[in-house]
Amino acid sequence: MTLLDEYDALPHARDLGLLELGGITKTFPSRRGVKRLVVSAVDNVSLSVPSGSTTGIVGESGCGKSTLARVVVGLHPADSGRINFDGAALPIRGKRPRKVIEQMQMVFQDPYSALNPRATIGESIAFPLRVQGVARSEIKDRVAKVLVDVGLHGNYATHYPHQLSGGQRQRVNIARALALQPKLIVLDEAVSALDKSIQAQILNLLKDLQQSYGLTYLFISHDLNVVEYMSDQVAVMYLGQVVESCSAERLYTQPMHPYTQVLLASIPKLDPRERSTGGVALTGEMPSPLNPPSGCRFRTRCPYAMDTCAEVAPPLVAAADGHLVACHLHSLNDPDRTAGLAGKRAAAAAAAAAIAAAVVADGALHDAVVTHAHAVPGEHAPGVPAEVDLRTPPTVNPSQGA
Amino acid sequence: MTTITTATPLGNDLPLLTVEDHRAAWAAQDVGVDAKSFWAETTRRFLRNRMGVFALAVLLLLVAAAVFAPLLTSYDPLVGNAQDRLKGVFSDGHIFGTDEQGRDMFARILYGGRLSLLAAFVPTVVATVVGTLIGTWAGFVRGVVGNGLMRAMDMLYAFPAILLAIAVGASLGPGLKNTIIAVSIVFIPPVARVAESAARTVSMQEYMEAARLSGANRWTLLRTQLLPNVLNQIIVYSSGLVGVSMIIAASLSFLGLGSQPPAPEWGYMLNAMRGSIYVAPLVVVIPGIFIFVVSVAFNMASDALRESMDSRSGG
Repeated sequence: MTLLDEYDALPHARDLGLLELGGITKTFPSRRGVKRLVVSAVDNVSLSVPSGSTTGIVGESGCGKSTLARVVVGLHPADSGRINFDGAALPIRGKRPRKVIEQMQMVFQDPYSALNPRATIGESIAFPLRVQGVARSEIKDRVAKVLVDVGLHGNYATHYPHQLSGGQRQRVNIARALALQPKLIVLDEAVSALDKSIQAQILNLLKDLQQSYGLTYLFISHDLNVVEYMSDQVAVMYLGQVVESCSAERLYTQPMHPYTQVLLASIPKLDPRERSTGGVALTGEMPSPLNPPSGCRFRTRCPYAMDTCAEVAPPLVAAADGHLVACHLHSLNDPDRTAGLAGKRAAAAAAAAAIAAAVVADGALHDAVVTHAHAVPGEHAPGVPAEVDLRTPPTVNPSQGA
Repeated sequence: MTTITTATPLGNDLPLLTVEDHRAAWAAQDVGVDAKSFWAETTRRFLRNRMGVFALAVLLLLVAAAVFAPLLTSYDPLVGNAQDRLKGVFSDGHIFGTDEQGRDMFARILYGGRLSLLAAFVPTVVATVVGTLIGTWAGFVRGVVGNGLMRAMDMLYAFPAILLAIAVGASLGPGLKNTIIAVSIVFIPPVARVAESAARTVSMQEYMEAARLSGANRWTLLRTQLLPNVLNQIIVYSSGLVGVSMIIAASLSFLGLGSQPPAPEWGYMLNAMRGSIYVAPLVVVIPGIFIFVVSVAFNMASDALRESMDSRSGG
């Protein structure tokens, strides 16, 4: 009986979250000369996404965030692991049931390449509806409704993507994901390609839609501020593995994993007096996923690395209530086992405290900015933020032009 | 007496606009989600392109002239009068002059158009359709199937075009039908290559992944998402093949594998009369002029088509 089977046998396993990932592993074959190599993109990732909340996944470029997103929605088959969605197990590869396809949608990173340049906005949004066999008369209504819900005038349905701005296109992408009335939306770097000011509008739109549609988000980003603003709980990924996961509030005030601590210390501070404080800078590049380090994958860059770290991979265990962390600093409880562990623990705790203080100090300022950004649209109706002035129907007319 | 009321423009009173109003405003336009609108839009934009319409008109005129040749001339294209050999242009009764056997050139051009236009268009169209299917499918599914298809294409591609055409023509026997088959086979690999590379690029775009998420099968994805995005590149390439096709067909005729004498065919006529170029130069170049006009008109028409398939070109 494997650990996974034991997990499934737990009585509460069924009503944990809308989406449950268990031990998801995804590798890609690769070649260097005649050698056949394996890229370990996602390694043994387990994650629970509670219904109606936002789960953030954060990590550097190349840590497997996007691969994980694609495995979740079924664009990539997983090598092994379990995916449970809405209480039912999904096949990790191959075709999914129609109901699941409808209930799980994705918003892509690049608003420019995510829309078919040859199709009107209306066609793009209608495509999934048509594929799923929604009646023609109903398609029109639903396209118009989601367009208005994402804050675009219904006339945009007749426009082509090149006539829209980046922010408007991302609204269209969100509208397309909404059209099938999903339960879960995977947002893969959904705002990373946008200007800061547009980011705030899109994030607030997403929050409004979550309320009105009762959506669950899996929010993937490399931007720590954005993840903090959006997420209820956060998982930190490093080189294909989850190294820490807990509530967003706890993660940003009491980070336990050295990697998380370094990440948080790297957030640029708004207040110049705060700039030099808060921990160690990360040295070196992320190791290649072709040949990940033995034991703990972070040990090559970890300021607290010990002998054990090269030998034993630290399991993801609960270090505090609801706070999972994969680090020997927090999982080895035998003080005699490794010399100097206590000292290192103390150093790590001190670093965490420094970061926490910096985050709190910075947080006040940060909150003020975010609140301000949120307040810009004024008393907007849910789903109708003020990026586009709705009073003016879109001026670009496809029948005029060059 | 009727009261004329001006409709209030949308949005004078934004706060009063409801979702239903937006929906109504949009429904009033009654376009957008119609799947056929891509081709309807393309036609509409094409008709606004003067050069394209002109080129298309020229092509249609030539086709009509070839089809209705018996109504336009009383001469027999196959029977000549030995006394009237190599008369110049605009000579008595022979507007385009006569060839080296005294046959009326105007009649031969008209009747020859039937063969030449067929030899120019049919291989191009056949190769475009077949090559597009093979290439886009290979670029879309990739893997073993895609590689297998493309390596098969590469094998054909390795031979020089004219040599391959000669080989096919020789094994099938002489005749215009076999020339058309041979030229079609010659043109499929390059079209498939262009289609494959275009399809490969497009299938990596995020909108293809988004479309896959909708649960659509591969054929639907290929037809509705991929094809409109690769067609213009293929059309640009294929349109250039019309002229080449005529020339290959002419070369095969010259080598005795294409249309057989005395059947008039523009390329064959050009070749057969090249010895007489110092006697009646204007007469000799007439078939060449027609080959040129067809090529240019076809290129212009396909350029216009490509532009009108591009939604960004406005219009």
